[in-house]
Amino acid sequence: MDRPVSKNPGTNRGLPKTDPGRPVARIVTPVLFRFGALIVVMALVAIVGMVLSLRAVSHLTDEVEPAADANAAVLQDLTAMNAAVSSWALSGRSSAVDDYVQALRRLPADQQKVRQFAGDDAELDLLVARLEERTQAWLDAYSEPRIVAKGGPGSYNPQRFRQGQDLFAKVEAAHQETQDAFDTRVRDASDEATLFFRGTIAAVAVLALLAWYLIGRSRARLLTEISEPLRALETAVQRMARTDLDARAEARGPKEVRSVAIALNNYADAQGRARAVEGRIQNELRVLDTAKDDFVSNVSHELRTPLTTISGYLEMVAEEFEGQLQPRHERMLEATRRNVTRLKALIDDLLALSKAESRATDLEAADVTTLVRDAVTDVRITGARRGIRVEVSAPAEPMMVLSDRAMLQRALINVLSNAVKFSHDNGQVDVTVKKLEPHQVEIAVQDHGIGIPQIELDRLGTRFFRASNAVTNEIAGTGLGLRIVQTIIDKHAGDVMIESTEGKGTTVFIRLRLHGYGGLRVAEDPTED
Amino acid sequence: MARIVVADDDVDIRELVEFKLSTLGHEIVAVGDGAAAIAACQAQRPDLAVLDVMMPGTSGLDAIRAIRADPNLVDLPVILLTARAQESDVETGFDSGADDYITKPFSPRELASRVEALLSRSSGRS
Repeated sequence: MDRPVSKNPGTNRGLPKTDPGRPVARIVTPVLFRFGALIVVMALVAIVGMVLSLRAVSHLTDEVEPAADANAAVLQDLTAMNAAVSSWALSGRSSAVDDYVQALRRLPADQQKVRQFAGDDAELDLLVARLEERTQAWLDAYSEPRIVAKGGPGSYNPQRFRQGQDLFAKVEAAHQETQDAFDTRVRDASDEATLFFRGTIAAVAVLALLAWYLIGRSRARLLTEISEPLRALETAVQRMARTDLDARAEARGPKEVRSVAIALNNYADAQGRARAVEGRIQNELRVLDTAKDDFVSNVSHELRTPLTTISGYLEMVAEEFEGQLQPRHERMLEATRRNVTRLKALIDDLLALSKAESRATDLEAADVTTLVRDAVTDVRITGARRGIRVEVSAPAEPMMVLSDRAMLQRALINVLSNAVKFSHDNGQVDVTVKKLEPHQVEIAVQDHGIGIPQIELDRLGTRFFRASNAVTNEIAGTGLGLRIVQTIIDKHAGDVMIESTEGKGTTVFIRLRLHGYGGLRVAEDPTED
Repeated sequence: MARIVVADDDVDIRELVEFKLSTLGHEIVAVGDGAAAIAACQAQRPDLAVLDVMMPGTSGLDAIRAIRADPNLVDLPVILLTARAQESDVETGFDSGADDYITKPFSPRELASRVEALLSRSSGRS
């Protein structure tokens, strides 16, 4: 043997035996992990984005805007101071001085707030410093001295006034620049916050789209790796179930699916082997059956041959010595002839029983009533010799059953001849055919003869058993008749029942299924399918 | 008084039939197998033949077919004897051209009356 032979040829086709496939868990887990990671990333992105946005917003609202507001407040203070100075100059009223002082008191605090914020910002710091310089210049050169000096009508000094206006204009200009810078910063901070917010949303949206795409790809992948092999397996199972005897599943896909496929193939192989064994057994049974039939046929033939000589010569001897024999010789001859007849009947019955026990063939639909009437015709003559009448009552419509005509005929004749045999002289045998709902026909054969002892009823169907009162009454019989009837009716999927009262009579009921309502089907031979 | 060919491989049955039929006054030619039966029929031109079906070599059925194939013997009345009594065997017997079919064990009286019936039928024809 120079080539290794595979242990299981025909199974596990399509893939080398060494690849066991990945377990479903190993296929699904990476996908799930990927999604898990993606979700974590999305969460992180969202959190980070949110944090940044919040920080930007709080920077805007907690720092930039208050500072801008403080800067605006500085202008308000200065403007109020300027107005107070003008008012003092014009009216000389002391309330103007109060206004001035109040505004002056507020100024440092506001300036402080602005300075605090500008401290981190070089450009802004420069602008704020310039503003403070100019503010201080105005304070030192104009407003402080002016408020201290005389006010009211007549105190107007155009040169001094003009100087003050110039200085305040410079302050206002510087403030404008500062305010512009603040506005820019407010705008920037606001933009930044918005940017972070929108950016977070965009990032999350992009990640969501990515997730969607990945889901699609993973779904396709799972379908290929899991669903598709499972579907292929399902198809294979269905093919096997439809008795495609050679169908086998392909072992592919995840490890578990492969295991199932392999197990399924092994099961199908086992089924195939079992079927082969069953087929062989069926063949052997058929061979045995034929052998038995041949044997019985040959034996009965061999037995009948010498019996022909015995019974033939007995008849001829009896004829030649008719009237010339002494009574005791007559009785000897009679006993001998009687037993030859018994032998004949035994051989016939054995052959009939053997045939009845073998498979039923030659099934055809037959009318029960016709069969019954034919059987009665056969038996009527025998009965007439003892004055026994046979009456048949049957329905007008045909009662069709699927049967082996010859066999069923035989069974009916057996039952009828029993009824005649066990009747008293000049008695009557009643045969009734009737339909039993829902789908049966019943044949009842009733005699009013010697009946059967109750305790022996059960044993009646056994081979060679004869009821005691039949034996004591010297009624001829082989003991096989009823067994033959039972076997034949069993083969027809019917029932035989016997009711009897010793001394009163016996009724034999045969029940058969009407054709087309179950019971036998034509293909009785199971190897035929 | 007729000439009758009797064929059966069992010597006792052969003698039995010979006894019975010769008692009726007929001339009997007794043989033991199918080939001899055909030869006897062709040579002796009998009025009737009684053939057993189960014989070694040429069976009664083969013999009767050969007889029917012979233009000289086609009208020869033939009775078949057999131990097989299946319906199919009876059909085969009649299909092969037998005029009558008796199952063993038979009553010699019955055989005799059938022989007479066939002989009177065929002599009425010729």
